Amino acid sequence: MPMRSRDLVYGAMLTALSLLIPIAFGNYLRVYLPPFSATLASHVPVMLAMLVSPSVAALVGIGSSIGFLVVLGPVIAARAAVHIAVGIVGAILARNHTFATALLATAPIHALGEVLVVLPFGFSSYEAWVLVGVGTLLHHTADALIALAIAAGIKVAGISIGHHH
Amino acid sequence: MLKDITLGQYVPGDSLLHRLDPRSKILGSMLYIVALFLLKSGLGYALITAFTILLVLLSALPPRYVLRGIRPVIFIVLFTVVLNIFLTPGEVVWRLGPFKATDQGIRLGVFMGWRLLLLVLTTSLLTLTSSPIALTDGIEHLLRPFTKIGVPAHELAMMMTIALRFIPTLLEETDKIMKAQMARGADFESGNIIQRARGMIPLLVPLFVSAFRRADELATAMEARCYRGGEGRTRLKELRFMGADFVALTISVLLLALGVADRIWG
Repeated sequence: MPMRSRDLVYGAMLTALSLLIPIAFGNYLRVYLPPFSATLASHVPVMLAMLVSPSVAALVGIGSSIGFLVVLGPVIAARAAVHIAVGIVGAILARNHTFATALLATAPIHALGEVLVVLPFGFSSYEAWVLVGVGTLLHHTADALIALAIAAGIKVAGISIGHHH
Repeated sequence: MLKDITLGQYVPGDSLLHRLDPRSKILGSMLYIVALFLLKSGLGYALITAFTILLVLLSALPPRYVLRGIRPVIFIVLFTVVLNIFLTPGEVVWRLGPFKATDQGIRLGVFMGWRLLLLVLTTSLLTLTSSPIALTDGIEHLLRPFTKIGVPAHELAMMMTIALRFIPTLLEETDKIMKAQMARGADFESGNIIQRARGMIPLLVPLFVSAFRRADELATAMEARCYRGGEGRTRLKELRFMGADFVALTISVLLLALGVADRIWG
């Protein structure tokens, strides 16, 4: 069944925002604990895509990975590719549970995924498990709080982005 | 500074790069990226830099405008260079308190920074010389073989193109909201990372609300024009590979061969 045009455009906007946030806000929100680097709020678009549908969350993950591959190279793109799985699982959970629960449940999947994808790039166990793993867990939690604030703001503005809302 | 970001912008023109088939530009960009990550010698970097300058000249775009696109990533590049210089183990050439700059670190830092700049420059050229519709068609054609394994080629291509098209619009919106919030006393630059993240909420909420409103308007316009996905969709301009496209692809393959050779013998 073809995707609804509204979902497609929501996915496109969220992909645009996922590419824009690290570039536009990198100066203000970048955290760097070598070799781990992260931009706060960069996961927010894929988190909000969980509210739309699993396919949109997957497409936002794929779109941002392609964008990061082109702009920032393969390591960042490989880490962004983890968001595809995180987005799909989160979107399935968000259908039957609250958004906050979906965000909380996907945090360990996100951290584990990022650890596994950076290992082949020559990261040591300490760098991968402690810096990237724990770093991603904290980053996910901070972004989840921002995503919840934005989801509440969107609701107040009278916009409904999910089918099930 | 946000207005300096050229990623996603298209400048109409009739240069050789503008006239190339989008598929050859996308494939060429991918081969360029792989070659760039394979290179490791100074000579290899000098050659690919000369090739990139040639591409900028062939685009017939004002070089200053194209170079403006790298200004927003200068901070990331400098950060990468400095961290590599001081964190790469090797022969110490200079000390600054507890920090040691190493010979290997300087080499790695300069190459990584230079690589990032070339990456941003070349990918900006791709969007600067290809209209959104040409990019959609190009991506869709290239992804078509993967539809057999369930990849939604049309949807993915359409989504990527709308995303690229809207990056400049959303950047402009971000700039406007940022200025409006600063006029109300918002401070995005001081405080620790948590305070700065909290300070960003009044910027991010209106930005996302505005993005979803635009998405609603665009979806309504698409539905009003009977958009029903990729199946059975016809095109005003069918893509055709010309002689220049074969030349461009041959040059891209040679560039990849240079990267492989440099990796082995460089």
